[in-house]
Amino acid sequence: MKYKIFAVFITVFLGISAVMYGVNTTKNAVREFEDRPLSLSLLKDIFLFVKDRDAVNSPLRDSYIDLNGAYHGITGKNYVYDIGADITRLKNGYLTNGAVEENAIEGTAELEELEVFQDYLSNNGIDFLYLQVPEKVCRLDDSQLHTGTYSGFRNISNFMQLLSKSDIDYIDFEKEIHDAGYDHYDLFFKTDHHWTTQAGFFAHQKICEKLKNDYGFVFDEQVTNLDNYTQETYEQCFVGSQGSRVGRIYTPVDDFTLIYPKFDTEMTVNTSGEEKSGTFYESVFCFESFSPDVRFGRLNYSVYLNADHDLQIITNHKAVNDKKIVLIKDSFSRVTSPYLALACKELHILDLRHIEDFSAAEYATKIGADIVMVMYNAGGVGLGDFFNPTPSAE
Amino acid sequence: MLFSSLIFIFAFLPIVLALYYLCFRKNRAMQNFVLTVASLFFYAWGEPKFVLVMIGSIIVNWLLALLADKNRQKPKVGKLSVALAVVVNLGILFVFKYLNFTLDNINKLGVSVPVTSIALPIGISFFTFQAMSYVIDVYRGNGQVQKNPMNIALYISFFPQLIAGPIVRYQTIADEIHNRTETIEDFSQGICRFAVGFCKKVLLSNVLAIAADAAFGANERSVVFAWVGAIAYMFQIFYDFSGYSDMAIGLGRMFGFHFLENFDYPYISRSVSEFWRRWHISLGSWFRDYVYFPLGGSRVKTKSRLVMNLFAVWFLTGIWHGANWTFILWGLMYFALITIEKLTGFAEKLKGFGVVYTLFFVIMGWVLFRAETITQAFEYMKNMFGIGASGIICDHAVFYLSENKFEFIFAILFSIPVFKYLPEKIKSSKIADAVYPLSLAVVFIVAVSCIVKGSYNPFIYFNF
Repeated sequence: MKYKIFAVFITVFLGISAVMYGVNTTKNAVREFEDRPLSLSLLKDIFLFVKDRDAVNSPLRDSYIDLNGAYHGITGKNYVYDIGADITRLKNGYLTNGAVEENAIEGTAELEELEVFQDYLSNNGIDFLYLQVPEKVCRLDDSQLHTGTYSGFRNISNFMQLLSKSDIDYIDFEKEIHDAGYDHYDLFFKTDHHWTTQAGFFAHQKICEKLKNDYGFVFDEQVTNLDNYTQETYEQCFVGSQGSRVGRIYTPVDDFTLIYPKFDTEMTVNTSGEEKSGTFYESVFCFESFSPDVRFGRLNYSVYLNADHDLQIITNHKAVNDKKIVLIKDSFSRVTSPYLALACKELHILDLRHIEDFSAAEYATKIGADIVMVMYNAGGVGLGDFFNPTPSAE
Repeated sequence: MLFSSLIFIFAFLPIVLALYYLCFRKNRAMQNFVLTVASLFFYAWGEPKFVLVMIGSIIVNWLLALLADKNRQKPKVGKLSVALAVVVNLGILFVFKYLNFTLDNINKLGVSVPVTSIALPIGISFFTFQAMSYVIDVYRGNGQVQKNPMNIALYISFFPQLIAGPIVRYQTIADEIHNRTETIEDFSQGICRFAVGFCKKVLLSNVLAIAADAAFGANERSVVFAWVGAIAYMFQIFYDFSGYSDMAIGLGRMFGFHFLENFDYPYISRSVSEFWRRWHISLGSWFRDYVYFPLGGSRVKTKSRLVMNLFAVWFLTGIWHGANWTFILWGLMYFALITIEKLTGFAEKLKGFGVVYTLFFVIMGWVLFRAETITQAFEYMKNMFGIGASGIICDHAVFYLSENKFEFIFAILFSIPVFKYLPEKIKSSKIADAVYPLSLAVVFIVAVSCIVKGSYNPFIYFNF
């Protein structure tokens, strides 16, 4: 009897799943190939599409991932293996990219690259500032990691030691956070590898402080005072890159806060030639990928400047100076750069992961930049060639 | 295509079941046709070119069996057909599986020969042995010859047992090709068996594989980590292989076929001889019936002849598992142990301690089996006993034990026949009728969630 009961259940389950799987696969395939004419190569590509993406075509994929996360949670697993990237749940419940072997860089080659770049800029009358974004796992305190695991990002402790002894001007945001008395993890999302918008604003404050004190920048002080900004928080709406891999039950979902000026602003964001003008709110935020509903809030971080692009130029039409900043960055700066743009006339944002045959060094010289800043998290250290970058994609 | 994949669970299996039971319920020939075409499609999904090798093998063996059947009264011709079948099938196996290895070793001897890099069709070790079994069984009169090549195609390529066994003897299912009866009881038990196998593979084997891979791939390991890795691999291979067998047996039963059991709690064995009566039973019995017995088996006049027969069987068993000296040494290890057991009978005197003795050598054997070279295997074994190890215990050992504590517990629990000893009253109670399907359903859906998520899903039969 017990076998028959299970047989009925599984037959119904497989039948319904098969229909849903077929519908999903067909919809996805049509979306992928609708512009292609019928041909043998199209049939071959459809076959490979179905074969290689069978998990993606699964019905109720998000629910299965939630269930899988629950299973990992119930069985006490703090390390979740994944084809894309392993996930570790830290002792404080935060998720991070996981590894069971240490991935440390020696740092000399990466530092040399920066020194050569700085020399070139200096010879062209351009200042250089290196900005080290903290990694989610606190470099100064790894007590949240479980025995036998390491952070999935690179260990850059050696690099930071070498940097501190070099003549490159830099800001170590991890140290700044620590010195300001903040809890490192409060400035990161639980479910995403990025830091929060609040952390991004803090970084903006520190950068502006340095630009003012050490590089003679003059700007309206209100741009660095958080009291002059509205903080609009959407609760329990964000499941980030790491949370997407383990579901919404394995660890709590995040709030997401939009921070935008209360004061008057007028900006233009030029993204690879396409312009968007208006207030800060109108030009910086891209709501196409944003949702306050956690079921659809996976891409909420992209609300800032709509993901990473090869070149974005933010022009501040209400700037009180004529400063031009070139910012070479990865995705962490997306929640910093829009505020930084309020402190200068033009902010040119380059993402070397997305550019081919382009020299950041020549570009900075060509546009007459006042200062070039490189802003990377641990994974980005040594990323790209400032003189002739080729895509070193993620 | 793998059983533990979504395309199989959500597409292939439902479609084949629908065609078989809904479209062609009353037409046996069409049902067999559906199963055959589906099986060839199943194989071609992963091996589009090598499906032609299988089709070629089917045609050749079909012809040779016809020849053997027709000439049963002419022993010379009949035996020649069988001999040809053996040569052709072993020839195919040699070219695809052993030629690279052979040429590599000839080159190492200093003779310069061109090196090949022929890819290995998945499942070739299984379907060539099944094909040989067909011709031999027909010649011996253990099954009726099939005049219709589609029926042989069904037997050789039948998807449940195609890529990972069990090796189904022709005589086991010869009658069922035409005369099987599908019952609700068989279907129900089959589907349960399939689900159990699926869960074993995904929730136990795949998870423990991570610990095993980490230990074997580590540059250095502590004593505990080495043992954790070895034991993890012991359970990985058991639940992978027995899980696949469960799925194969279950799927067969869903279509009215009854395959023989392939595993019988091998890790409770009290001797190595007993282990091989419980582990991969279909392979052991194949070599017994087609190699050991024809050579005379145990009923030979001299001990040296007995030893030679055992050597032949265990050398072939080792090399069947893969073209590497590790597999050959693994097979020869079992030759040595079984020979000593047969000649001295010492294992019977060990009583309960026999389990410890057997498990010890089985674990050492798995280290050899898993390692890529004999040197690596011996380095690993030395670490297990503290030689060259990085201490007694390390962070990795703690990590993998901690992360996989439930998997290790359940792996041990399900490797012993605990449920057999439950009182019959409980097994046939109404509570059991509710608990069994509910718990299996939950566990099955959790296993499906692992596949959807894209968890680690290694396929260890690439050597076969």
